[in-house]
Amino acid sequence: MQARRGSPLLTHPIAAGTIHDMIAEGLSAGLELVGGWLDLGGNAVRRVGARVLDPLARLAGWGRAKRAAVGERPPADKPSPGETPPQSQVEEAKYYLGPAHEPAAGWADRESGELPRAYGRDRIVLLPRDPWWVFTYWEITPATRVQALRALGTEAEGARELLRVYDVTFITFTGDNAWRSFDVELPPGADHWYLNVGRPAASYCVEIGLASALGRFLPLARSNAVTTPRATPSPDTTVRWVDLAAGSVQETARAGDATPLPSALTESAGAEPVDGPPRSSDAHTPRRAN
Amino acid sequence: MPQASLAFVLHAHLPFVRHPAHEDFLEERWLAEAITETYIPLLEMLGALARDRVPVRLTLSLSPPLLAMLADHLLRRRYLRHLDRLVELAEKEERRTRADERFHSVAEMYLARFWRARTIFLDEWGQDLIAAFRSCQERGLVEIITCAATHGFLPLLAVTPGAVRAQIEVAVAEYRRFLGRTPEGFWLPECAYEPGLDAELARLGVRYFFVDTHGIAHATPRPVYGVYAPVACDSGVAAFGRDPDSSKQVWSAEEGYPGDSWYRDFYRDIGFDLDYDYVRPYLPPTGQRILTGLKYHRITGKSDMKEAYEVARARERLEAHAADFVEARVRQAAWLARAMDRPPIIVCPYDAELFGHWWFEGPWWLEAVLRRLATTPELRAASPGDDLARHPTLQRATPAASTWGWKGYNEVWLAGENDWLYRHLHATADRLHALCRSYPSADERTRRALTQALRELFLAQASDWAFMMSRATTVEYAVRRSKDHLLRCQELCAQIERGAVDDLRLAQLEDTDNLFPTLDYRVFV
Repeated sequence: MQARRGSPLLTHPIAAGTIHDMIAEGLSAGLELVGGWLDLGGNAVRRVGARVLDPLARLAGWGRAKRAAVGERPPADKPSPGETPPQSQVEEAKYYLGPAHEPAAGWADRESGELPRAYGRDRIVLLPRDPWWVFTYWEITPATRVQALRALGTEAEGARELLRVYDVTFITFTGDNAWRSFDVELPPGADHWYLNVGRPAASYCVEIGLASALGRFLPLARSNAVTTPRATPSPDTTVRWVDLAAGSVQETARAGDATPLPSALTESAGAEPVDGPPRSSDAHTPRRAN
Repeated sequence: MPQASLAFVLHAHLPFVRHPAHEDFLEERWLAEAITETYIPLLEMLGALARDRVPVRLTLSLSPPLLAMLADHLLRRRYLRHLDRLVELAEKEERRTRADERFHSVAEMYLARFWRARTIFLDEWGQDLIAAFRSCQERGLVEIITCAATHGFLPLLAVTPGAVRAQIEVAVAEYRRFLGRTPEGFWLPECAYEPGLDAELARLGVRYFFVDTHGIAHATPRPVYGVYAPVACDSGVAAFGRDPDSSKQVWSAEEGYPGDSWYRDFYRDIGFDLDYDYVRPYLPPTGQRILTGLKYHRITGKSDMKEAYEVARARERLEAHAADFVEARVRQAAWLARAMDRPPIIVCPYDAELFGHWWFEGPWWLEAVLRRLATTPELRAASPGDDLARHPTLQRATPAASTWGWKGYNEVWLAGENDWLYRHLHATADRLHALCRSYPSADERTRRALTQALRELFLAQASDWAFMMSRATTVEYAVRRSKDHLLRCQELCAQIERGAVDDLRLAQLEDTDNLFPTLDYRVFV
């Protein structure tokens, strides 16, 4: 994760031309600002990972973000007061009227009800948090659970609830074609989880299901797929121009810029693990223009 | 040397806060303070520059909830009442401080300032500040852009089909209603972009949006000019990246201008400093001490010992800071010119409320910068729209998913304090979406109920609530507002599903949550 500080553009041989160099110089100054926060985040992620990993999750390489115990909070890598970023402080100031002000007594126009605890529909949703973490929440109706246990038959005894997380980068997931998957065992009553996927620019999908003692996995619901953000400059240095006034796409105009990258450089960013497929991290590669 | 463009982008936004059932609602002061301290001083600044024939070009994002509040007659009346009380307090203060030479000139400054605000609000613009901004746009001083309908954090709403589209479509419709044309640009709430969002903007004729620095730095393919030229997304919409250097000079806690010891302190306020009975009439009905807006001290240093504010010294500092900022941009433009074969554009986006509300001297600083730019041949003030007109050939690239929030991604809006919200937002949106789709046409009552349900959903989707929860500011209010709008939406859905819309209740909700009067539920199908 250290490579986010300073732009790899600077040392990129293909970017050695003056334009690249100077832009990179400017960018690296800027990335230090962003990078300062990101590094802070990276540290926080590592800190949190170390604190909350349970043995199973550690084996699987997943950060466990929240236990189901009531009242316990997911990884709270909030800034301590000393490290409040100035921009947030300014945004907060919009709402600051005085220290810890109380809502108006006898707030007459508020609703008296509470939100439903459940919506009666089997569902699991995956949301991206940052290049390394995704968040998932789910609801499984009691009827579905009973039905699943029945389907497991004699194996229902000792069945555990699992999240199975699939790496579906570049894939239209059909249930059995993921690059790889990991399981996270859930404590009873859990209904949401932070997953440390640790991999920018990759796509994930998650299933909640029951695992029998014999290892059979019965999925109860499958989530949407999400793609984590890129955390480093793209290895793709293709240069193509488009004239927005004309709405046309012109072909690559600069010699050199479109030279394919030596493959080693695609990993130069460092934030992306090099083991296992997919090697590339270009989940955001734009569609080819016609 | 080609002339570099400098694009100041001010994003003005507040969540929709309107409580007609209460005579005096504390959180309605957010709007009042922003009007007095930011929006009116900005208008005043633009007016002064125009009078002096200084070429000015700013980009201003006015969020739809802010437009709705500025247009609302009840909130206008309440603002005027608030301003009258401020004038009264400032008059008392002017008398009280006559014997105190440290504070008297500051008290006089506030009195003059509040009077001027009253003149601008009431006499010059007949309480219609939107007309004032529209006039600035028509005179070419500003390029006004829009933002999502209720400032929804779009990447976290996208699981419901149509939810993102509705946020964008309603924003564009509101812009047209108030400003009479299609917006050129779009401020993505919190600069939260993910690939594909641009296609929704393209559908509605929007030509550009903004991302944070790393959105461009990590774009695919790698942009050759970095953030100093926009890139064209596949959809044909241009993405402009935030310049890190100018950002740092203003935002940074250590090096940023607003932290200068001669500038006015934000927190030290007579609402806390003076005798309770004296300030009581200007506090909320609950009687709790809050900020009044009259602040007599300068930042001084890190300790709580604050010295008296001196306007003249602060003005000297802001002139120096304006000069420093422009010099830094000239140097930046010079080395960019050596590296680039097109004139660079340096994009400086800020929260509008930074200027005046948080950084009291901000509007003066901005004015000083713009005056200096007018006499600096290397630079010109420009909007992104101007830049696209001059340089329509862009590199094709897809920005990386990113936000301008803390740590650069979604964590502020998706954290332990607010993650509970999303299951309710998504379930409620899905339910309403299905319901809207099941009514290709509807009788008048059902149409109204569906439309009001959509207003409630929009209000629940505002990113402000999640922000407040995660930053531990006004958490209870933020939680309450999220739940109230979700409950109202669910209640209306249930009534429609049962075929039993409660007319009285519907009318009451229409009256309370009255933004987007021309909304039609069919935008959400």
